[in-house]
Amino acid sequence: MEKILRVMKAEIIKQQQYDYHSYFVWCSLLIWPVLGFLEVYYTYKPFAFTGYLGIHDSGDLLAFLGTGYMAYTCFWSMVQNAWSMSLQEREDGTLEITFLTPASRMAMNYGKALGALIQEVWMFGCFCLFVLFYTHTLTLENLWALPLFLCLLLFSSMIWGGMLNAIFLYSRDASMIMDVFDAPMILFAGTRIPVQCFPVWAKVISLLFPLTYCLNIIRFILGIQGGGAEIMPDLAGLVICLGVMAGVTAWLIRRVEKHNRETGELQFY
Amino acid sequence: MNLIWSTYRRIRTGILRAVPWSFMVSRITTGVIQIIIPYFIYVFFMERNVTDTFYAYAGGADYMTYVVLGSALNVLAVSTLMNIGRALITELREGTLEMLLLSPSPRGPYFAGCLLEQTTRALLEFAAVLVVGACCGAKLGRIFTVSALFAIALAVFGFFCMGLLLSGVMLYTRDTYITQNTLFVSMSLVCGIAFPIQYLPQWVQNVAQIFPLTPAVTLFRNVVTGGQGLLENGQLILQVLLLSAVYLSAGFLWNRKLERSLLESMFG
Repeated sequence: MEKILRVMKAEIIKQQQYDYHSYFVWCSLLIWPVLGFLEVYYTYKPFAFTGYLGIHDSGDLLAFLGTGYMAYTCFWSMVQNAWSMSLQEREDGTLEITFLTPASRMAMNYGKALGALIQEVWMFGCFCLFVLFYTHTLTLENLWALPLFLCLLLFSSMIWGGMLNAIFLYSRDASMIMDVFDAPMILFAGTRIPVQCFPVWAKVISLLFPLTYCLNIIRFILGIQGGGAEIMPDLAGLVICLGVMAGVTAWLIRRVEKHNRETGELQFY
Repeated sequence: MNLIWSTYRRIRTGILRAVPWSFMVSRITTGVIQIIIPYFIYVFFMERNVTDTFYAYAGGADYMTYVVLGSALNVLAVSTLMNIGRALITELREGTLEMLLLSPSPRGPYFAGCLLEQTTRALLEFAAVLVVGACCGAKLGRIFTVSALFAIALAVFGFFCMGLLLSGVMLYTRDTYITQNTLFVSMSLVCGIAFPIQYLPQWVQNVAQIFPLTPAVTLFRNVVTGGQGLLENGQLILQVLLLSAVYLSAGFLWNRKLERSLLESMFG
């Protein structure tokens, strides 16, 4: 266990040193989600609110979108980080270290995803402040839930990022996987539109993303569009979803390594 | 002409061999999602409750047509800016910039070759977004008129000129990731892609005028949904041309200065 933690720590430090070298980077990492958030907010402007699903005015909408973005940015930063790192490592010729070291592959993989750890905490904090002060959904009574949300998001996004990371090991063309998973996640996980209003086929797709469950849990605790909702099915769904993903990750890593040993190539690019 | 063609072939071969899927799939997904999200809001969540203010701002266009035209042109803008902007820094990363800078070939045809290569790909993405948009109920009957095609060509020219300046910025900062994403996120917020810019504060609307995408997308919509001719939109055309001239000359001057200092500082 200690070994695994050490490997993960090393990966995190490595990425911090590589990527977060100036304040400019920090600012832009916050600017994107904020601009994206504003874009979605304005996308709703042409519509008249009907009170459907408990969203009566722009205040309700901001609370809904705020929590959606808070959770989504955590997932996004993990994936983005894993992706850009694996691309850089491929270009710099250090990606093969994954298979040449005696360290646990799974630990390295999750460490790579967690390279975005500090970034994630920073973005989470900023969005929390927004939700706290602007939309008044966070009150003193449910402030205890914040650390819980952070742990929940960190853990689930780590598993998610780790799985995508394992896919990136396959080929340099695998970056398209990121877009194939990332953009639909915005839609189907309910970051911008409540999943409850989706048609059935879209609801089924939304079950594939761990972010859906995380968002349901967070919104349930904060009391946003929570009428009649239950928390247990979401918790169970999240556990199953993450379990399957961890399994897929382990299988993928073994497969990539075997494949590369057979073709005699442990060097990438 | 020869140089344009050989640049075209070189880049195309590289892309087909190394990353045949990534670039196109990613932009098509992003473009399609940019339509599907408003579609879901429009149909499933807000149940087609569009306000009268929107119709007033949009000049009578229906919601889906408005969004689809905006997204399609945005896809074209992003791909042109991205490919032209990244041209030089990609050469640097792949280790071929030195050859390029030392060769006697002029830079103009080189960028024209890049443009040719990327436009043929970008138009496919553009078409994909339009087809999905038509399936979502957008009315695109007038897209094949001469005026609409002219509007598209003018827009691509505007993006190209801006891309030239961007390529200098990227080469100077040695960064693509932060520059391009900041630019694209800002553009899709302020240029009137998914909603009329009249909803934004006045000063943001003023800032939006420095991007060629803002007048280009208005022109495109006027021509396709409003059925207007080009002459009625002379002011918008002039604005795109003026912006293009500014970006072109700024990009040209900066790139020339940058290339000189690069030759001094980077290569042995």
